[in-house]
Amino acid sequence: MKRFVLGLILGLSPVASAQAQGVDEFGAYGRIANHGESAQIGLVEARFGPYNPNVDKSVDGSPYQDTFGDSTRYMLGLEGDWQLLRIPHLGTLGPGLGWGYTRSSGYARLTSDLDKLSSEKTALTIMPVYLVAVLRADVLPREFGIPIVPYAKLGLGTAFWWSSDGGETAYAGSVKGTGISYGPQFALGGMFLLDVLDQSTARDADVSLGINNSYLFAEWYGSELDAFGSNKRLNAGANTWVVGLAIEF
Amino acid sequence: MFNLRSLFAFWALMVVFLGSAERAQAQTTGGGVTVTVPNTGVRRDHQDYAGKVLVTQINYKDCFSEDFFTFTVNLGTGYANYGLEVWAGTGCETQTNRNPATATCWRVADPVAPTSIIVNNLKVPVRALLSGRTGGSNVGTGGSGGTDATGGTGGVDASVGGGGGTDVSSGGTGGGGSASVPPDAPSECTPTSAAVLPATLSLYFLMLDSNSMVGGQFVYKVTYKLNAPAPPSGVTSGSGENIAPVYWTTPSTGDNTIDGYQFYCDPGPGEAGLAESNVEWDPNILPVDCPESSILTPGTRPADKYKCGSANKGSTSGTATNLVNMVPYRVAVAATDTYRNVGVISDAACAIPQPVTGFFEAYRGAGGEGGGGFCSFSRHARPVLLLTVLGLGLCLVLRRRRAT
Repeated sequence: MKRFVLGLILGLSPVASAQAQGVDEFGAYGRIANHGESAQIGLVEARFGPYNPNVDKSVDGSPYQDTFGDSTRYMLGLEGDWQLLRIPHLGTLGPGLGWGYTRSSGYARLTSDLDKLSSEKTALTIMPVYLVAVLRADVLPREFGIPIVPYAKLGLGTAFWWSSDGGETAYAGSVKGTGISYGPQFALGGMFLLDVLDQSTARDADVSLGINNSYLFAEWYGSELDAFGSNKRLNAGANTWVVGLAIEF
Repeated sequence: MFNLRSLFAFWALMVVFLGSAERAQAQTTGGGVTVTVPNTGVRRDHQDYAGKVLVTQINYKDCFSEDFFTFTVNLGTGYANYGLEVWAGTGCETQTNRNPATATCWRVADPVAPTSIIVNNLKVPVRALLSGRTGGSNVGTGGSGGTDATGGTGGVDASVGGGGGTDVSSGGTGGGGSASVPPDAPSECTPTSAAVLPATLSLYFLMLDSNSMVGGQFVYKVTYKLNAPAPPSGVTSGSGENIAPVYWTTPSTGDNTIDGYQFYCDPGPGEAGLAESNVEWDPNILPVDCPESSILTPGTRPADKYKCGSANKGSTSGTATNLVNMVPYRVAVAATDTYRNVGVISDAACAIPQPVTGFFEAYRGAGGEGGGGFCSFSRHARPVLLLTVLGLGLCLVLRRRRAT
């Protein structure tokens, strides 16, 4: 995994060098943009949405659903994007790093009668972390006045997860109930530019806080964190939607 | 312009100023002899939770286990004309307050005739300190009758002793009980009011002449809390693997001093507790009920060996741990307070630990092979895609190097 992350970072390093010079094959950037806006270098997202992990997809039976039921669990998350490249007449491209947190809990079943619940809590906590390339096509608001920004993300995700029984780390025999899962991750979404609702406040936010734009967004994303099709890793990914608030600065 | 002499003079002045300020804070003089107890001159022999609570704090266990203070007292010149006595109470520097007929103070240590400016190892028993209380105040008076709710005080020997010895340990509180301490609590350790907040008690280090006139004094304040919180109600328990989830309703007294909860199990936790209990059990047979416990009697405080877990302040549930599956346990809960007092226990609930299947066991049972720790990597995982991504990254780097 470390090698992978290193590889991804190395893969992006040529672009980073170009940014440092302030010039790339698409032209100069890193300076005051059009319309008197301050320089735009990145974006942060606060994310919220349902999260039902794909655990049962990688094993026989349905241990996740049997234990935690089929009620929806939710995830809170944050993402930060570095808008490394501005592609003329299209949008921005750059790496994004995200983090999330979700927890499922229920009562363990009596081993002597699996139809009966015990009084002991059992839980699965998942903390996804991902590194993706993000393309945001902000050409629509910039050149056509349409306050919509479609975007796509592609990269690799990982998830730290840990399971507990009765408040203590769970064990199955001698195997500790903690681990890391990894696999591909993608997302497609759209952002609604909130600036159009109150342009005066938007300008003030740029002048006083350096916030270029703010958005409401909705996204569909999928992550198959099963070590690329193996059952050696708990598939802690999910295919789900997420909504949130984003600001560009 | 820089002047080294002025600088030294300034710092000397500061040292004198700060030194005098420190002394003013640390000492109280009532006459011609200075009396001080430095912060480093106070020790406790076997304070409960020593190092985790203030040295000035006294709880029920300190009293029960006969802990004592050991003071080092520094005296000024002229000490040879006086005897050193330690009194507790209110306004002890006033002679009438040490007079048996009108006493508001009681002596807590044998008088000392100082032979140097430092008096070492002046011992003050906690029980002697607490012996003169009545009605929640510091006033030592004649005895009063006790009640089950509050307890009462007995007579206190508060006779003035200008130099002669007085048996301070003879003063004691009268009978009476309290809902928050065990029935066998020593009289000195029995709360004299239902108040749950800590109370302050002043210790007077007095230099007294042959006429019992004060020639110097120092006041040292301690705080004590003997009332532990009432136990929670509605205690229930359930089944877990080698554990017992415990649930309760917090005491309705609105006691803000509650700082946590302590669980007690009968049999005691672990194999040792089980062996000691002589409980007959079969690991293959699930008991249907729990026998009554002769240990966990509501309103008592069991021995520490029956402790089987704890929970934080504000909790209404917790987990009794280190239990043996298929053994019937009785589980009770006591509340603890900010002075580390452990209250009496609640009614005991029945808990029968037994094997359960949690999520991770179920996942492994379904063929999942994940787990084993955050740093575990399987040799059988599919590294091809990872290597591919790594290779692509490397290619990009090499391509860029060629371009430059």
